[in-house]
Amino acid sequence: MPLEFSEKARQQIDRLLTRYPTRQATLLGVLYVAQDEFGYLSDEALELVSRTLDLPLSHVFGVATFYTLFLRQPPARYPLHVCTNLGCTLRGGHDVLRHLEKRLGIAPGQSTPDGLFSLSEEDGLGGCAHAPTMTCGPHHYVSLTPDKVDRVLDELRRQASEAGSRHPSSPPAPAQGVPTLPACGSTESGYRETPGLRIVTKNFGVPDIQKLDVYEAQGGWQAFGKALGIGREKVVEEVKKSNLRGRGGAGFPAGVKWGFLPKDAQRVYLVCNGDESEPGTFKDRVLLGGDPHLLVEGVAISAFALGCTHAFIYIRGELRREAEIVQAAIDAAYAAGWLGRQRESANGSFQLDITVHLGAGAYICGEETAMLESIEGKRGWPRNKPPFPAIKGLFGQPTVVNNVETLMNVPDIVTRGGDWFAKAGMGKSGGTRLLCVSGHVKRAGVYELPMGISFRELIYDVCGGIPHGRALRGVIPGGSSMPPLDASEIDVPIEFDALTTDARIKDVELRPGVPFEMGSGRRLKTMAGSGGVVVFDDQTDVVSLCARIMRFYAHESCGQCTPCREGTGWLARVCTRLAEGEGRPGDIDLLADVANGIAGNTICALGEAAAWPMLGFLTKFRADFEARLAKAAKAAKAS
Amino acid sequence: MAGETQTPSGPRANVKMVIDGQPHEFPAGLTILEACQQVGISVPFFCWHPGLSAPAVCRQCLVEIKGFPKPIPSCYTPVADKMEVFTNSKKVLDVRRQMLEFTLLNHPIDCPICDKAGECMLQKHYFDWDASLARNDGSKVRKAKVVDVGRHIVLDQERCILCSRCIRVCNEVARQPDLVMAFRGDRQLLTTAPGRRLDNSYSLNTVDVCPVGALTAKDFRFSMRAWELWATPSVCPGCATGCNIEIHAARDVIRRLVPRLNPAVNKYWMCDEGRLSYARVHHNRLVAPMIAGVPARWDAALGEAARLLGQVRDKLPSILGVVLSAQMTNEDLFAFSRLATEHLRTDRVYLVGAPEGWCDDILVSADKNPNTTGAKLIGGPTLRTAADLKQDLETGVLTALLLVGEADAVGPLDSLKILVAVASHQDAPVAAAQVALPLAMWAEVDGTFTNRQGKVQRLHPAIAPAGQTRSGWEIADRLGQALGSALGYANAKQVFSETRDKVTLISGADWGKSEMSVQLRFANTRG
Ligand SMILES: Cc1cc2nc3c(=O)[nH]c(=O)nc-3n(C[C@H](O)[C@H](O)[C@H](O)COP(=O)(O)O)c2cc1C
Ligand code: SF4
Ligand code: SF4
Ligand code: SF4
Ligand code: FES
Repeated sequence: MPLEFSEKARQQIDRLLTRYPTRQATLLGVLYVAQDEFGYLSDEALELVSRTLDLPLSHVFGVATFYTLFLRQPPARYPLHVCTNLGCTLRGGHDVLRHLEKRLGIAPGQSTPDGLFSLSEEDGLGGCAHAPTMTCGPHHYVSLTPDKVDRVLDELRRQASEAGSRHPSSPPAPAQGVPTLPACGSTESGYRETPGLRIVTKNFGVPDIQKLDVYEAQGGWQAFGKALGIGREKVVEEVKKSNLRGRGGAGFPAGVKWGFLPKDAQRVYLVCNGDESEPGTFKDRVLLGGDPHLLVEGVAISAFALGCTHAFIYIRGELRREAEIVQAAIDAAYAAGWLGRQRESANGSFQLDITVHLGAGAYICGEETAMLESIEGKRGWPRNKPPFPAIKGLFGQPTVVNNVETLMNVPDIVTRGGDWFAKAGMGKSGGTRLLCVSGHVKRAGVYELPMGISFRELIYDVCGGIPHGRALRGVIPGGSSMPPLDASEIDVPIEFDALTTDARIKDVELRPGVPFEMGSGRRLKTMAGSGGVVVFDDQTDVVSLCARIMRFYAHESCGQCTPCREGTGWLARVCTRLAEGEGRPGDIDLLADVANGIAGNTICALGEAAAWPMLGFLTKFRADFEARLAKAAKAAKAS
Repeated sequence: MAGETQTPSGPRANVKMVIDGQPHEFPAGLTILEACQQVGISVPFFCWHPGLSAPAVCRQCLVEIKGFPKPIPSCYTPVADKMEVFTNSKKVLDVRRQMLEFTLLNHPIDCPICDKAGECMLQKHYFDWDASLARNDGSKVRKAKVVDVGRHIVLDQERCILCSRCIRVCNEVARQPDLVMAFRGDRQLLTTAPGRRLDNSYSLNTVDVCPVGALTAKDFRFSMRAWELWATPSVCPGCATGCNIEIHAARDVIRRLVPRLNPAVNKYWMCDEGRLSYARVHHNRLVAPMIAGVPARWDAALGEAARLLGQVRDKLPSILGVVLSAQMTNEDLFAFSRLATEHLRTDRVYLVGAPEGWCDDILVSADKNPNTTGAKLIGGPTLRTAADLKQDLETGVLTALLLVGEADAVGPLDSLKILVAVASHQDAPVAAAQVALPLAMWAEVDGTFTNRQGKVQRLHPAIAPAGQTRSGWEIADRLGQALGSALGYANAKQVFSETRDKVTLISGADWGKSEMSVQLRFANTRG
């Protein structure tokens, strides 16, 4: 008999259908419903989804296989996902993985014969401040050691034998003595309070701030009221004045972006980018769980300013708990009439709907046009530009995409004025900056700091320096796609323009003495990126670190365009063999050439996201690569 | 057009731009790639196809534009006034080589056993633009080599360069999304959905557009090297649409039919059924004249046919019928029509043809005959129908029949005293005929069909006529001679000219120039 949805699932699907303008756009949501219902997405389940939404099975299949959180096989009872990305790999993530391999007798990608455990290697689960980490069901185990891993395994085994086969789907309970990561804005979530000006984390520390009445008691939703009163043109003007720059990676001035919308646009969409997957970045996770109402209000004000009546908040699939917190905040805002109800404004009546769209495991969906495709219910394939989203974006309509942190700054800009915000910042960058520090520092975490603080101050003053009395080797300044800095370059301010121009930062090179050209004569130093600062000490295996980064981008390349699809895999393979002591003569030049062949020639910036760090690591740490190669050559000769 | 009055210098609003230092003018709306093609500048590409949307994924067509920091895909970017394009700067040549190296990285390079070798775009671009040694000394991503994806097609996932052309053919031409990309990164796979097949009615166009040997046709696979084929322009005989095609043949054997561009008829496409219709050319043919079922010499058979038909004509003309087929060329139809009135002096001319079949709103017509329009124009208002014929046979009005063309089930033939068949196949009527004259088929002759739009379209002989078969007009001419006076035709063109003069509705038609078959070699038509 063909599969059917339960009544409850059908209701969930009906609800989804009311939240999107097209049927296809509900596809990711309906696949989640099917997966929750049947445990995984079998061929029959895909057929059912295809029938239910009247979409071609081929389309459903293409989408289901694009996103890694959609399972095509029945999962183990306790799937263990171990993070081995930057923050974790620097703090023993691979030891955790190796320990689990030994204890379970399986490799990543495999399940134990009894179906109890499966093991997988993950990329940045957002717990970098408490690395190394691993998830199982709803639990995000942090600060792991082999000993704690054993405790988790023992506990899970005990629970399994206790439950027998009666409750195969009941989630595991946490293990004693092994800390887990909470979703909300407490210190345990990774947030660390700072003494200076706080804008996006101003409410952190207020108990129960996730509740609407508490948020309102803190002055919440007043900025929205003010915005309606002063009118949308004035809000846009204040945002322009504020020098608010995008916190998603490129640092593009938000006001300028908003100004790109055609004046006569009938329907405009605002999409809030909460896909945060750039390795080393975990600020949006903390913000989403920490002060969801501030985000909703920021989205509401921005939507009003843009003339948008339906906004989307795209949240990374791995952050399901945070998505639920945001959804609860939205539900409360609907109940209170902030959303979904006509409100008078200087521009006539305004009414906003907000839909939370949960991603499903694809880093590329953080790229804004891939995100639009994903919301439309497709594979997250970035679009060719032009047309830019401001002209033809979501569902073909003019669209603005802004990062979570970017939009959470908007309420205070409205309340306190654009000039105030601009002055609080530095140069052409207004406001404060969230920095997520991980790796080899004593106090890792998310900090709201003055724009323009230097890496030296950040590492040694704010984060307490490097543990075990070691010396600094280098810093990844803003997520793993940004070229690293070496220990001599850390006095520059962490500010958008400084990092691209400061003379103290060396140009990234193709080969020693040959600068890498970005076109039109521009040279690459580095960029502020996503605020993910990864610090590594002098004992770090820099080549392996670089190889881990390359494997990440190869895994996440959407596969659409040739240079990135093929080139990222090539970089990962060659860099990995080099790291493992099996490099071949010419490999260093080959890596540089391949990176150079990717950069600038792809559909989206994931190409650069892989190529830039490759070239950056080669530029700043070339000696490490050469030494590894020489060792390989010597070993080859000896054998 | 409005543009004509605005710019007296050109036909439409043009853009003036520079490519590789040379000034050019192009109509607005063209892509840079198309503009380059118009002026003979070669820019390699894989994913772009003139009949499909442009996803700009392969990045092979990147060029430099002055003022743009990065190379841009020429297949996707429209020409613009004052634009300065470079297609052969050092930067562009470097990038071009680099893109090729990426495309080849995980490609198996098994050209010696690949069907597409010789007409493969990857091979061609590699020889044209790179031809250096591979730097990939590591392992390649392995994928499945033989996937039975559909009724007519085999897929080699390893050879696939993930250009998505075949997907777009299914989505945009066949409007049936059979193919899809699954997974991502360099593990990405072209495939069908689980349990589904590539089975739309236009599936073989995916083989044409596949720039490499990833999709191959089962009926052609391993049968022939592409460079041994000769291509001859022709028209599909499968239905009234008249898709323009190339016949690919070697040593008088047709190996495949492929669509030939005609923007007004079939664009770049044809249906699978039409494409496979060539099989009939080599199947069960009548290859020699027959008298009473025994092979005979042409002149003996013609003499016997003339004697039998002459007998009836001189007795009572009303009982002799001439049956023509909508499968015949205009020339054959005209010549036999003349024979009917002038030599046989009968007005009982019937038109038959293949029975109606399925159709769609893409290309396929319900009328499965390539020349119904032409036959009706030539036959004029007195032309009788297949139903008339059936009735006249059943009621016994007809006692003698000259049956021409492929005419299967025309009706009961038992009441006939005399049956002369001019036929291409050894079907039932042929066995019953006192005389059977072997008729050459559409792929063997010069001639024209008139399609459902009224377009007169030219056929060229791709292979020598089978056995002793001859063109219909020639048989009519010889039969006329045996009946007293030849029609006086030396070639098909002559018949065509006369037809055009007599049949006013096709007076504008053009015989066109006669095309020779060309050997394929690196034929860019394929992909
Ligand atoms: C490969 C790639 C991944 C990205 N990931 C994210 C992300 O996770 N979060 C984000 O806000 N922006 C991400 N971006 C940047 C977005 O495309 C977009 O520029 C940003 O969301 C705009 O918001 P902002 O102007 O407020 O920064 C990514 C870009 C690329 C090329
Ligand atoms: S650059 Fe990479 S991620 Fe971006 S479109 Fe191309 S293949 Fe996809
Ligand atoms: S099978 Fe051929 S046409 Fe289809 S994507 Fe692969 S290379 Fe392109
Ligand atoms: S649509 Fe008709 S003419 Fe065209 S290929 Fe098919 S059968 Fe031949
Ligand atoms: S032909 Fe232009 S990108 Fe493929």
